[in-house]
Amino acid sequence: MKKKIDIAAIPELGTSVGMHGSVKQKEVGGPLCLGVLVAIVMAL
Amino acid sequence: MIAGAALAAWLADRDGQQSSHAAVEACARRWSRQPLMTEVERQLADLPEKTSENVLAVARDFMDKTDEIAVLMDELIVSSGQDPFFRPPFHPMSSEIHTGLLLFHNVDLSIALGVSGVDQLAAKKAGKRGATSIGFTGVTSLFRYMKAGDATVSFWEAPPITDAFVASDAGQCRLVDRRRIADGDEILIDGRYQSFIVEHATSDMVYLQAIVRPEAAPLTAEYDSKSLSFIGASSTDEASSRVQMMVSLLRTMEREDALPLIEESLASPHFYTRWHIMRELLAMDAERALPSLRAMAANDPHPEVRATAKRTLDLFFADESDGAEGALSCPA
Repeated sequence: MKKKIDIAAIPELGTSVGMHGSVKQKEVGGPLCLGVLVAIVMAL
Repeated sequence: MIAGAALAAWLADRDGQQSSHAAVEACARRWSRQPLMTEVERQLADLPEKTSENVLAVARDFMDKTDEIAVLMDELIVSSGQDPFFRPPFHPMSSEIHTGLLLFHNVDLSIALGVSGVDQLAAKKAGKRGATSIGFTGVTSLFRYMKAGDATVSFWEAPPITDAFVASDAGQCRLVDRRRIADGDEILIDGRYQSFIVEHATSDMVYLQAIVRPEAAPLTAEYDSKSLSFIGASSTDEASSRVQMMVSLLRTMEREDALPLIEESLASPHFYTRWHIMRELLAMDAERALPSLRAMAANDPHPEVRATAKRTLDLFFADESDGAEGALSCPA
């Protein structure tokens, strides 16, 4: 039987990095737009 | 806005629809062969090294071809005027304050033509909204304003985003300049530590925007626009995000036959991807993951990955420390 660890019990990094294109808050209106939108276009 | 009657007539007119589609296809064919587009591909292919500086020079050369860009814009405007169902053959992009067309895109460089509407900008600034942030994209961006809209722009800097980025050391961003921009102005932003915000404009802004990806930071950073403190990060690498999601899916599906591939992905250049994969690996087969976990604890280039790997060893493998002497070289 393989030893498996409950993934929820494994420590996470203190620096949490979201998936590509995700933002926590709405940006104020700067240069983020294209980077995020290109990702959306590519995902379609 | 297209009137309902016009749309109904077009939908009932098969020849009219074909004519609209044919015009779009003809436009796409014509522009895919134009030197404006072919030159940028050739220049990128001929670069001896795809550094940020080299790719930026290609973007700037594209933007300098103002006559050809004007011809392109004229053609799109004329074609749209002749047929309301004509659609420019470029990927459309839009946000609350921005509408654009993606003129060129490859893995190293994207170039878009965009308009930021002053009404939309005003509505966003004046409207009710929650917390907002200042984004540091991690990539180099070049903006060339054909019409600057008499805009006032503020420039911001933050501690540089590096491969060793640690949230607790991200500090605060700070205002470094605020100035008006004029038609023809260029804004060059190294998104690893620079950003800007359009504070105010009196008319629409029309601009070319280039995104240069070589030498990008591993992540984008967001700072709260009020406290100026770091609030979050996301990956700049779409491929590594996809790998993370696929590995999580494989673990959920209990696809142990994929373990060799999952182990290979531990060699990601991005610290957050390496640890994400390690957690999945531990959840699938902890014994198999142990040598790589020990290697990470000893040698991973990122301090948080090393520390978290050590903590994980202590938590789950404290009774197996005898084997630690055989730690493998770090896969990163």
